[in-house]
Amino acid sequence: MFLTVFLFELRYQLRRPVTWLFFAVFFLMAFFSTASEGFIGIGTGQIHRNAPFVLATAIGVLTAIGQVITTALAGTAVLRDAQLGTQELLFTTRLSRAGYLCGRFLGAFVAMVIIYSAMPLGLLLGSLMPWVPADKLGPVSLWNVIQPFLLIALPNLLFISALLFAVGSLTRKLFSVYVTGIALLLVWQISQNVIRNLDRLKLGSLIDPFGITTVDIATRYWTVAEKNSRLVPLDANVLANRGLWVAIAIGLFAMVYALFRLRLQGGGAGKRKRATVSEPSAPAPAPAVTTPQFTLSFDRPANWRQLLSLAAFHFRVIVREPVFLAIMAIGVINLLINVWYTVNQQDTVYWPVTATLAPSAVQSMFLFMVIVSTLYGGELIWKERQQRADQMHDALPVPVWVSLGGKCIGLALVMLLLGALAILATAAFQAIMGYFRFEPLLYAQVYLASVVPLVVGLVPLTVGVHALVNQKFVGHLIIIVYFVGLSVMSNLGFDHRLYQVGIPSSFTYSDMNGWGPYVPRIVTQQAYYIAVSMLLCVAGGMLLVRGSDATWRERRRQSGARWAQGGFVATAVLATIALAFGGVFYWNANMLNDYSEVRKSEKAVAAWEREWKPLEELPQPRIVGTTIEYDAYPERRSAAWRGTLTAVNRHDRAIDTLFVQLPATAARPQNSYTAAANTGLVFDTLEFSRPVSLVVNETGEGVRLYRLAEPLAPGDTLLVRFAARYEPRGFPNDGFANDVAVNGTFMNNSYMPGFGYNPQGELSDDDIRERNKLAPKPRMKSIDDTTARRQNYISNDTDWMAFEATLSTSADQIAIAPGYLQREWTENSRRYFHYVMDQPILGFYSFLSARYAVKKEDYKGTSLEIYYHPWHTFALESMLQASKDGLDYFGANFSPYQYRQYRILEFPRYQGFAQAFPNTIPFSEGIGFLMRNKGGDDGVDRAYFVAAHELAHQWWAHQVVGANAQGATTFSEGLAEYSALTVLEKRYGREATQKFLRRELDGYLQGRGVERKKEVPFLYVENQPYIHYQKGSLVYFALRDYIGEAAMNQGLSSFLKKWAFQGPPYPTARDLYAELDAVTPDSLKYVLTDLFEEITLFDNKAVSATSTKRPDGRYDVRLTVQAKKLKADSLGGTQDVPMVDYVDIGIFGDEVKGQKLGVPLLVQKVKITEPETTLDFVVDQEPRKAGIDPYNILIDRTPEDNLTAVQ
Amino acid sequence: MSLVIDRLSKTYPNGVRALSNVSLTIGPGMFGLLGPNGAGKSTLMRTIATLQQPDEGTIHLGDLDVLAQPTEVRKILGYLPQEFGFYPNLSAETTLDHYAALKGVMVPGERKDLVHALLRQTNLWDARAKAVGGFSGGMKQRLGIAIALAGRPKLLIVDEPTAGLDPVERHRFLNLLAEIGDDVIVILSTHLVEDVRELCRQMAIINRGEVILEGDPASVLEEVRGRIWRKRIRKEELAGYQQSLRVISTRLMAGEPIINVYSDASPGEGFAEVEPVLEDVYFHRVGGAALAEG
Repeated sequence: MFLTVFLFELRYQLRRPVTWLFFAVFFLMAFFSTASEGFIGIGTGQIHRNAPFVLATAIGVLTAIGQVITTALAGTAVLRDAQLGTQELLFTTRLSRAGYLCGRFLGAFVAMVIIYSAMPLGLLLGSLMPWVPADKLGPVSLWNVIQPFLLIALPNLLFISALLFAVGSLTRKLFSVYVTGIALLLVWQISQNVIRNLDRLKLGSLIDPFGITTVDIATRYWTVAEKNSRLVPLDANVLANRGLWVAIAIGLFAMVYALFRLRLQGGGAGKRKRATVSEPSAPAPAPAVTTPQFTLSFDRPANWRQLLSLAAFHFRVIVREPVFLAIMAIGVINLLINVWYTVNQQDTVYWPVTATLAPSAVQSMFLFMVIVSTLYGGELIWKERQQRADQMHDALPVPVWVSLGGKCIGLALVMLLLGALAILATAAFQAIMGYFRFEPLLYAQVYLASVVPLVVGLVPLTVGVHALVNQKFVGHLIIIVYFVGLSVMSNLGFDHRLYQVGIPSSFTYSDMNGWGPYVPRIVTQQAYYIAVSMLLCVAGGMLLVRGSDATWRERRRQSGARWAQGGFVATAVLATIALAFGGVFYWNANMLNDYSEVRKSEKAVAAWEREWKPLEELPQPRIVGTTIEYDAYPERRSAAWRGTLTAVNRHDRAIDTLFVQLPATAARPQNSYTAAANTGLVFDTLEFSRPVSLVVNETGEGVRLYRLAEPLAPGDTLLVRFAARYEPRGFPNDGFANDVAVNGTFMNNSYMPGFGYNPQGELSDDDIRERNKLAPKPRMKSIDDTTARRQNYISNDTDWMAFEATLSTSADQIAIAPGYLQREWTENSRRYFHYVMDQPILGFYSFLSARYAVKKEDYKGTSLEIYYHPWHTFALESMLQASKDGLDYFGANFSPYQYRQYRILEFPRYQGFAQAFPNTIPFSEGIGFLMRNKGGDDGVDRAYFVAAHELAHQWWAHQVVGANAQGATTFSEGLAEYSALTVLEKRYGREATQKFLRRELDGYLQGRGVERKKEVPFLYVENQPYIHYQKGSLVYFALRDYIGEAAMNQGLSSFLKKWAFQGPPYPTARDLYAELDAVTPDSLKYVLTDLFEEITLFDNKAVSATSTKRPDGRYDVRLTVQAKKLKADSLGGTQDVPMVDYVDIGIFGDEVKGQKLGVPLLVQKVKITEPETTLDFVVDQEPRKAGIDPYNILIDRTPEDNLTAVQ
Repeated sequence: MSLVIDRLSKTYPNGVRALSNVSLTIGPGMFGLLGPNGAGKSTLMRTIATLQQPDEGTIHLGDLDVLAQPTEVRKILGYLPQEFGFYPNLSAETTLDHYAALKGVMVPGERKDLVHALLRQTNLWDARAKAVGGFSGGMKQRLGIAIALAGRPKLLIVDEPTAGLDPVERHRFLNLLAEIGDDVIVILSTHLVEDVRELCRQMAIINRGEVILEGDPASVLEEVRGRIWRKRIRKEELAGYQQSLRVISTRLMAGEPIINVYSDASPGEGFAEVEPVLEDVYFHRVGGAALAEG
């Protein structure tokens, strides 16, 4: 019996064309996952396209996405009999419940396995394609695709099939099966969010039904070498996850088995039967009823009213369905999770301001809206046919545009309601979080700019596709493939918005600058999208099936009449709108703003490099003084500036040719998929104090070569006068140059002319260089290359220079540049500010202008100033405190602060960083100003930390700056991080620092796993953020722990004493190392080597700890620990090395609220020389926890097993 | 106004010839279209109801060319398909109101009155607030006819409305049809002879896509009057009679067959002439066609 049902089901599934369509789609998705780099985008850099880790992730992701497409397969296995009305026949046979359910289930499950087996096949074949570069491929192995298929895909499919089978048999509604598919995606998203909290990695790993997060966690700290060679391990987390979901699958099936009865609906499990309506059985004679008078109208106004009434009808029908509640719940939960993590980032909590929440809410709804629109689009097109009301409907005197339009509007209303609910839920979230600064107007604007156009653009698109395709599954598939295709294309650099119909126009809302320049682009882009998708909908309407003949011939025949009855007019009107807005968009993006695909712009950069790199060593004068007049015209988003550069020939021979590099105006790659051009920038004049002739003028690349009539003799001075302006034109395709803003201008020295070829403009990624036929290039010059010491890493044409600036701006704004304010005045209703710096600075300066509120405080002779957006007052105290603590500590222990003021200036969230200019810190509104927590137990006070970090840069960059070679950031960023952490620790205690270091460790270990080129020891860091920030704080913190704070400070201050304001030649990390070496005792020299010169890892673990109470009331503790030391190579391959190291051993007593460790009873460094060591201690109080390296001073990939409970 | 069907033919892609050269002229009043399952009735009905195109032939409703002007036809059409369903969660009143609006009854007050009148007329008044998902077959049919009637149709097509109804429901439904005004062309397709006998002034029999008889029930009977003979026989004799005579129908009474035989003269002993009923015509024609072909 079972076998019959099973084979019948399997044969049925395998005979359906749609099954093989799914197979083909999965095959192609898998194929491109390895055959193309843009598809899932994880096999990049040094990670092989077919690395086992990539294959496992691809299989996880593809099952997660795929299950949305194949939901119907398992879900309908039990529904089909009800739909086809065959259940009466089946259920009255000798068929047993077990035979029926198992047969159907396993039939569907095996069909799923067959479909998804296209994935390993596609992945394997994709990696064999001839165009995949050999160095991007690891060994091709069948087991590498089979293992993840068995480990990830099979349990996934079992669970998905069981869940959908259960939902299908219990609800007996196909639609609820679909909705379940979306809910599953949500669970995956939740698990991804859960692991943002480092304490919940295990939980996140457990709850992802697809096992993707599980693979993430299992491979979280894998290096490139491991990702390329290791299969996903069957560790405890992986087994727990797989086991859990297989168990749930079995449980679900058991539940179905228990509840299912071979009966018709009503007898079915838990299904409430609709009350039947009974009547008296005697036929009452039809009562004589006089038919009332009424008018029939078939004119246009009547049609329009019918359209609205149909819209209302569909709206009511949808929102009353119970499944809509489920959809709403999914939407709201998804949104709340997203906004929760918008305000809880890492260990820092932010205020839930509308400017961050509303866009995040809307963004989180995008995918959800696409799915809802797709599903309901299909439902609505098929509604009448499903209800068997189609014949009645099609014979009604209602034109197709009315019935189709009614559906579109009805669905749009439903989705607008969902959008409105999202907004309300977000506002409720704010209130629950205790934030009551509601901005209803902003919500309304976000709704109008984002939700409304999204919905109005999506609905006709999805409904149109379904109307055209007239095959529900295929329609769903086409829409999913379309959106996936768009994202793949944009990964590959094809990102013109004109062919991304359905993707919302991007924008950044800033409290400071409001909507900024985005509105015209939003309007144009969305109007174009809406018109295009409505055109598709009109096409759908033309060919919509009406009547009982669904052949193409008949549909085409009917379309003739529809075309004449309004189809033509609608097409003409919409096409005109699409052309008009598309044209406006094209004019703005391509003509005013020089759109370029990223690969094209890469070519241009490569050409620039090839042409001008040979002149890299051409001697050029050095800039020793800069005087600038900068006029901001915020209301026009423009600025004009004039300046004089004083340059001196510091070489020992004459300079005959000037290589002037102006900022390029041609398109430049912004990242690996978009390029942007700076078309609004114009250099009006460029004059020299000596006669010159222009030899080369490449405006797009910004290269100008001048021949000096008389060579500039060594020591001679040359003045350069220039005038430039920035006047934005229209809007670009993507991104906006927001450096000049209506409120919140922040422009830096990159807009000024410079001397010499600047290699920083070159393409840096080796993959990109290779496809542009450029040789790979080292990220930085060698630390031992003496030529590198001629330049600092901040600028290539300046050493230490004088700086003076006069700024003007509109009357209501304050304009700021580095230096001290000499005079402020008003002229022609504009405000002027004159700043002079009284000592030489690096060639790194900026101009800011905004409507600021100002907080000033004099602290021991230093003026502390914060310029902020008037209501962004949340973190001012933290920032001030950090400034004071830093000034005190750095001043006392490193060297005196070189300035008399320290200014923090808020700028709009278009960039998310703070940056240290001389005594001037532009600080993004997005990263600290909205911070909520107060530090300590509350989390990490990030505003405090960032303010202290930038202050520390006044020492580590602005006093001592590194040569432009490896290790430059070992001290600028590394020591800034360390210095900030030190004051943070003094202010908030060890526990807060601990939290921070744990995050740093995580960041470092993850960072090395996505290294694109090579990991280097800390001393040789090549501007790699995960090394100079994350590893930096770990390295210096460990060193301090070993040699003590006093020695550390002594080393740092003597480094400053020797090198402050020096250069060229500039110091390298070796010079710092020498100072640290001098203060490190011989017994600990190995620590310096481990930390700075090699990549050292530990694998420490507490094995067991027991304690017994002694007669004197104290406790004996016996602790067994394991320790292992490893050295890693540049790709993360490791080698065990013998251990002769001092490592902390810690024993902790009773818990302290808010702390993880408890009262320290004993912490001491013990020399560990064996892989396993047993130690005995005596402590005063009852021990609770004990272990090795309790504070995670050493870099350890499993830091959580360092402690164990004391038995 | 009358409905003129002229040489209508339709062959489905699978080769089934659903209509073959069908010509009919149907005037106001009730027209019965009789035929066995699969005779092409529904194809014909759907074609008249603008839902399907024939391969050949024309249909005219008064001045309207039905095939070329479906929109105009739909304005005066009421159509109750053989198979149909409703949104199960909506009430009868909402459902009817929805359809009334789509039929062009756009003044809200008038529509409300009309909906109420139709609900009373179809005896659904008491159940008007109930979800139609729980309706019995008869109630669904009555709601269907209420919908069909909502737009004041000049042409009403009801396809197999009594199929599956119990006798009570069936009567209730036929009574409803009987109330419809004389100026409306009503086409009732059915495979039940009684439906036609009770209601129709004009009728046609269709089988295998062809019209095999057309007329009013009374004159149609004339065709077989005096030629229908009946006899009660034993079971084992049946095969013999079927070979030697034109047995047009067989039914059982208390387990013994009674056969009706078509014959110009008495076919033999024990046969009694019976007053023909429409059924005899039907079986004679339908069975005849079958025999002719077989």
